[in-house]
Amino acid sequence: MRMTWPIGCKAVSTWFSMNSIKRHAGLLFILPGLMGFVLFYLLPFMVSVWYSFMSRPAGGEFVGLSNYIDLLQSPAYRLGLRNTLVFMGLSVPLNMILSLVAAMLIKNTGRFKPHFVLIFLIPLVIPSGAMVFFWRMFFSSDGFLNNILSSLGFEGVNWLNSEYSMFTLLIIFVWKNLGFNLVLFLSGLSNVPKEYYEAAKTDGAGVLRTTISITLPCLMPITVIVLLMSIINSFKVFREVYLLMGAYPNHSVYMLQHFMNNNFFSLNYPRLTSATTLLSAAMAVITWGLIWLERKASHD
Amino acid sequence: MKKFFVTMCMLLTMLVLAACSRGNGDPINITQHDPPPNQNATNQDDTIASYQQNITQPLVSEPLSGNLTISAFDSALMGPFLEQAAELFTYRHPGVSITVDVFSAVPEVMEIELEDGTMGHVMTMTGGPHESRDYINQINTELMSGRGPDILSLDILPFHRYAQVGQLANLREFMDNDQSFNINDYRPNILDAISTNNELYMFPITIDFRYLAFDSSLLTNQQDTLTARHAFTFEELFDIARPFLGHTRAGGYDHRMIAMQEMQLFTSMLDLYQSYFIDIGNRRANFTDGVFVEMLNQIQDYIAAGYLQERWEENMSMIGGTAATQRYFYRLNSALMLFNEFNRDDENRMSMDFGVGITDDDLVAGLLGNSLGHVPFSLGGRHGGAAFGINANSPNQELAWEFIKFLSSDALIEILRPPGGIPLYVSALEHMAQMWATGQFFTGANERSELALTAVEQARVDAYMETVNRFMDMFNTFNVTDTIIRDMVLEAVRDYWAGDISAHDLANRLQSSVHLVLNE
Repeated sequence: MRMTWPIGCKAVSTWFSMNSIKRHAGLLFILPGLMGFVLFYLLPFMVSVWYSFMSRPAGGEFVGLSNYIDLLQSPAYRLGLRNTLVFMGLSVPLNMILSLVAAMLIKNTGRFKPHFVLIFLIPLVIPSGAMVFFWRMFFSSDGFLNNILSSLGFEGVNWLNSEYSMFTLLIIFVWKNLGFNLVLFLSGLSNVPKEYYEAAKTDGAGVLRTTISITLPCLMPITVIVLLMSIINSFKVFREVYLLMGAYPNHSVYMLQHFMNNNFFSLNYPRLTSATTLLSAAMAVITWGLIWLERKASHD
Repeated sequence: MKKFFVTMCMLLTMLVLAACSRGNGDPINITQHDPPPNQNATNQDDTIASYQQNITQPLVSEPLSGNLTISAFDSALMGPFLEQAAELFTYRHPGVSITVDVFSAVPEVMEIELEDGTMGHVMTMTGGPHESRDYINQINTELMSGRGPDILSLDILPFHRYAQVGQLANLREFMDNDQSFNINDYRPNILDAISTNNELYMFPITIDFRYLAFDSSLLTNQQDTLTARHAFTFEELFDIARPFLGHTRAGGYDHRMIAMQEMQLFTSMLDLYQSYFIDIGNRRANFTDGVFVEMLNQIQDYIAAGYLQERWEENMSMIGGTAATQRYFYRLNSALMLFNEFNRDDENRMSMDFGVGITDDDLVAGLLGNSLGHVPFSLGGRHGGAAFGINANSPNQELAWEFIKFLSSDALIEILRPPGGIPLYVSALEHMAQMWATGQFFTGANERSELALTAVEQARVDAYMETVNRFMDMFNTFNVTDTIIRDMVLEAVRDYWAGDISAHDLANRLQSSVHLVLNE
C-alpha cells in the first residue's frame, strides 16, 4: 500500500532521506559540538556582554559605557593589566626562544630524541595541584631553594610574596610549557626540506647562516602558531598563581584573572563582565592578527 | 563505510537530543542538605505547645498572609531558632507560610563513656571552611540571578558587599514607614553605627561586646576610677595598674596585666582601631601613618614587660589545673556573663569560669575604647551574628520586615533564646534579665511560672540594666567584618610574630594589599 505524506511530513522525510543525510553529514557531525558551543560559550558570553552595559544583572538599568569607564579608572584593573602584559612580554619570548633552541638541539640527538621529548613533556601531564605542592616546597621561605642559597652564604628570598614572585612565575611557566612548544617546533623542523640544507652546505653556509636563512624562515608558519598558543597559555598561568599564592598575591603578580575572579566573589558583576568583554575583544584581535600573519607567512 | 558514518552520526544526534530532552521531565539529583538538627525535640515541642496554650487566638487584629523563605548557614543554633520562631509566627498569622532553609551540616552527636563510667554526649561540628564558601557562593548566585530567599540571616554572609551592589533592601524605609516601630525601643545609636549614609541593610536582634572587669583585691585604691563605667584604652588601664605590678609578684603568684596573649591583644586592638585602619565605606586603607607600627611596637613592649598572659608552652605548671599561678589585673568578659557580676550573693547563680574567668574579687569597670573615642561593638553568634537583611528582589518585603521585628520582640525572647549576645530590643533585654534573676532563664517554657521578683532580685535587675544601658549608650562604632581583609591582616601579622617581617614592612604590605581589596 502506498502511503501519502502530508506536505510537512514530506519535507521532513525528504530532509531525512539517505541522500540528503549524506549531503548534510558534515553538519550533523558538527551539530553536537556546535550546540555545546552555542549553549555553554556563545550565549553566556552574549549575556555577559549585555550585563556589562547594565547597572546590575537582575533588575538593573542600562548605563551605557559607564562600567567600562569605571573599569579603566580602576587602579586594580590597571595593575592587573600591566602585570599581565609584563608577564606576557617576558614569558612568551623566553618560552619561544628556549623551546626553539631545545628543539634544534634535540633534533640532532638521533635515537635519544624520543627520550628528550618525553622528559620535556612530563610537566604537561602533571596535575596542577601536585605541581603546586612541589613548587611550594621549592620556593617557600624555608624551602629547598632558600636552603641552597643559605648554604652558599646568601640570604633567603621570599620567592612567593615579594617583587621576586614574577621571576618565580616565569620559571614555573617555562617549566610547564616548554615541552608543548618544543613538540610544535620539532614538527616544524621536520617539515623543512633536507634539500635546502644540502644546497646550503654545498654553498659553504655555516650553522648560523643556515639557521638564519633556512630554518627560521621555514619555521615562520609554525612560529606564529607557537606564539598564539604561548599567549593563550600565558593567560592560563593564573591557575598556578592562584593555587600557589592565593587570591591576593604580591602586587607584582596580581593578574587580570585575579581581578576578574575576585570581582566575581565580591559580586561586582558589571565590572567583571566589562573586564571579560574587553579581554575577549583583545584576545580576538590578537588571534585574528596572528592568524592573518600565519597565512601571510605561509603564502610567502 | 559512508553508511556506517551516517548511521553513527544519526545515533549521536539522537543521543544528544535524548540527553537534552531528559531535563524536561526527569528530576535532577542535587545535593540535599540535611535538615536542621532536631535536638531536644521534646523540649522544643513542649515550649511551642506551652506558648500556643497561652494564646487562644492570633494576637494581631489584621493577620498577615503570604509566603516567606529564610536562609541561614548555621544548623546548630540559628536553624532551630528560626524554625521555632517561624512556627510561632505562623501560629499568630495562620495565613503565613515560612520556609527555613539551613545550609550547614548537622553536628554529629556521639555517645562517649566519661571518666566516672557514666555515659555522656559529644557534639562535633562536621562542616569546614569549604562549606561556608559553598553557602556564600550559592546565595551569591541566587541573589545575582534575581532570586534568592526573602530574608537572609547574615551570620557569615558578606552583607556590606551585598549592600554595595544593591542586593539588600534599605531597612530605614521600613522603619520610617512603620507606625508600630519605635526606634527608641531598639537603641538608635547602635542602628546608627551600623548604618552607612543613613541607610541600614541589616537588623541585629542581638549584639555582643566584651566588658572590662578588674581584680579589686589587686587595685583596691583605684576602684573609684575604674568603676566609673568609662571606655578605657589599654594604655590607660596599664598606666593605672603599672605601679602595683612589681609589688604584687609575691605569694607564689605571677601577676599579669591582662588575661590575653599577644595575638589576642592584637585582635582586640585591631577591633578598636579597625575603622581607622580600614575605611570600607570610602575604600581607604590607613596602615602607613605610623599608628599601626606604633600599635605593634606597643604590644612588643607589653610582651617584654611581662604584661600579657603567659603561653601554656612557656609555663608547664599551667597544665594540669594549676593555672591559678597567674593572676590578672584585668579581664575582658563576654556580655552574656555580665549579669553574673550582679548576683554574686545568689547561691543559685549561673556560674561559668574558663580558667581566667570571673573571680569573687572582680568588679565591672567599663568598656574598651581607642584614643580616637571609638567604642566598638560586634554582632554575637557562633558564626558572626544574629542579624537579618531583606532581599532587594523579594516580592514579600513587608512581610519579611514583620518577621524580623517578631524575631527581636520580647514575646519571642520569652520563649526562645536567640543566638548571639544580648537582645537589642530594650524590653526584651529587661525580660531576659528578670529571667536570669529568678533562675527561669534555663528552664523550659512549660516549667516557668509568673515572673514575680523579690526586692533583691529586682535590685539586681535594676543594677544590671543601668550598667547595660550605660554601656549601650557608649557604643559608637560598628566594625564591618570583611573576612578577606581580616584573614589577610591576621596572616600577615602571624608572619610578623614569627619574625619573618618587620613592623614597617608589614604596614606597607597591608597598606597595598588592603587598598587593592577595597578598590577592586
